[in-house]
Amino acid sequence: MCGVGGIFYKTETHSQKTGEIAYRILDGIYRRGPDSTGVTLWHANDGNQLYVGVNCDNPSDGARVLERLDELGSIRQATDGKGYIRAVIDYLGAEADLVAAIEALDPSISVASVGRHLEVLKHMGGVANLDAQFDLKAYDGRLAMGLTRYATESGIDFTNGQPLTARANSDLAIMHNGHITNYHHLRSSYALKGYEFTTQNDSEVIPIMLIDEMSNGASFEDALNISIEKLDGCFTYIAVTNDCFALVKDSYAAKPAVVAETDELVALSSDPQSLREGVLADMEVWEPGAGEVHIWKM
Amino acid sequence: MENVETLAIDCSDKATREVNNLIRKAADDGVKQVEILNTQARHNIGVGILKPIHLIYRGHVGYYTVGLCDNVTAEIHGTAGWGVGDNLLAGEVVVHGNAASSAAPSLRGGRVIVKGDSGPRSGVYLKSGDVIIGGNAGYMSGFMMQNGRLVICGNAAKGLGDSMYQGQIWLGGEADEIGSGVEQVDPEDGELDAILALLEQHKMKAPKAFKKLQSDRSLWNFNKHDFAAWKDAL
Repeated sequence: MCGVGGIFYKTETHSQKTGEIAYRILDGIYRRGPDSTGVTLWHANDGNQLYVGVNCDNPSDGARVLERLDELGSIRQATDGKGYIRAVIDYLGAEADLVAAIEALDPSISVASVGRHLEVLKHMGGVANLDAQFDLKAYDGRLAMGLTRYATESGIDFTNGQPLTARANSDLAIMHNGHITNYHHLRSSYALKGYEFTTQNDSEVIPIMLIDEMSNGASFEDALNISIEKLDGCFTYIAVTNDCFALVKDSYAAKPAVVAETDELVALSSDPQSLREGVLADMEVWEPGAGEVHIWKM
Repeated sequence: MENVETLAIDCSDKATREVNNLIRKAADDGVKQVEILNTQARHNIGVGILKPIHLIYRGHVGYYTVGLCDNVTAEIHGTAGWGVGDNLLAGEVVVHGNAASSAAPSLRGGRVIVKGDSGPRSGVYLKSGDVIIGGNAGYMSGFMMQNGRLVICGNAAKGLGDSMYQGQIWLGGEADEIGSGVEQVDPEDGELDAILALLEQHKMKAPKAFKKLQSDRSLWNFNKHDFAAWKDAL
């Protein structure tokens, strides 16, 4: 089933902490996806820092990953989430080299995300676990979008959890509720083009597809519209980049998502209840229609 | 509780099953109406009520509100989530805000009225009764409807009435696209007047004109020479 949702503030100043609102929204859709929870956080990066997330489903590998990260750049901040490493490092080299150097450690270790603006956090179970490990509530930036996962197609572990990114290619993360029925066909065609897949999750084909379309010259908005044509199945997904985020619905509107927008914020969720309890009790909410793409600029 | 006219139920400190049991008991006891407070968009509030009672929802409701009910009337002062009035046998549900996907699915009788807009698949599998939408209706509204009337005062998205068997769709605005197996026909005497009377009864603004749509019966029987239409229908 899965649930997607989150909060975006239109300006830097806001009345309630972003992380606390995101926590309540994700807690409200916990029952849609009790297997694991993940969020994408946006940071206003004005330095050399790179936000790195590493899947290491064997928790004892954490120390090796941190050691390798320290060799590659200087670590500003890092948390070993026992299965998932979150780190902020000063790094100026090519992101692809960093990914290769970390993944050379062990086949079970994979880079979940590298971003100049976007940071991906994942944990097993509900958002309370994620918060206990990574202190989500302390985040007070402009955007926190997440997913509660009900695994249907791949393992319940950190590697296969969402959000998913195209890794070394740019700041782009997606959170997808639904299933992609032509996944195997799409995956093999992208693999032939040289794209690397690190999970068995059908949703991983979405960021790869978006990156591929944009590398062929499509704008982000065009790429999202193309994805509605090319992806088969039911899907509602949120895509976040360094300067905007989007909500995309399949042509059948088979997966729910409601939106509430005020002068101050935009809040999304699979379930209106989580918005009412998580953000404001009395907001106008609306449900985007079939085959629609909605984009909000940072 | 026999002489109680109105019973108030506050949902904020009760589990969903508890709220539903209280409503059921009130209906058994002959209470005329129940005012449901602090609904907070919760799901399944007022489900499986099989005796006559009037429900007043003070706030937004979640999925399947007034689902599987018989002889129940309800007013919802807020927006409704998916599947409001699911499988209603008799009675009336009025949503004073917008309704999300699949409003009034499999309605078997009675009436579901959405004063605002309604999401995709409004009136899906409509079997009998009336579904009236004051605003616009979403994708594939009236999909596979089998009888009854779907009245849309505003516009409709793609696939309106797709694969409908029988029944009528009354469209006040324009449809982005009419679904497979649907044709526009001239209304019969008195049909339009009945629709307008219904709107007036509920103080809803009627559009300037209505188009009547119904099944053209082309999908009733499989015809292998017409394979393209079938492929398109699905």
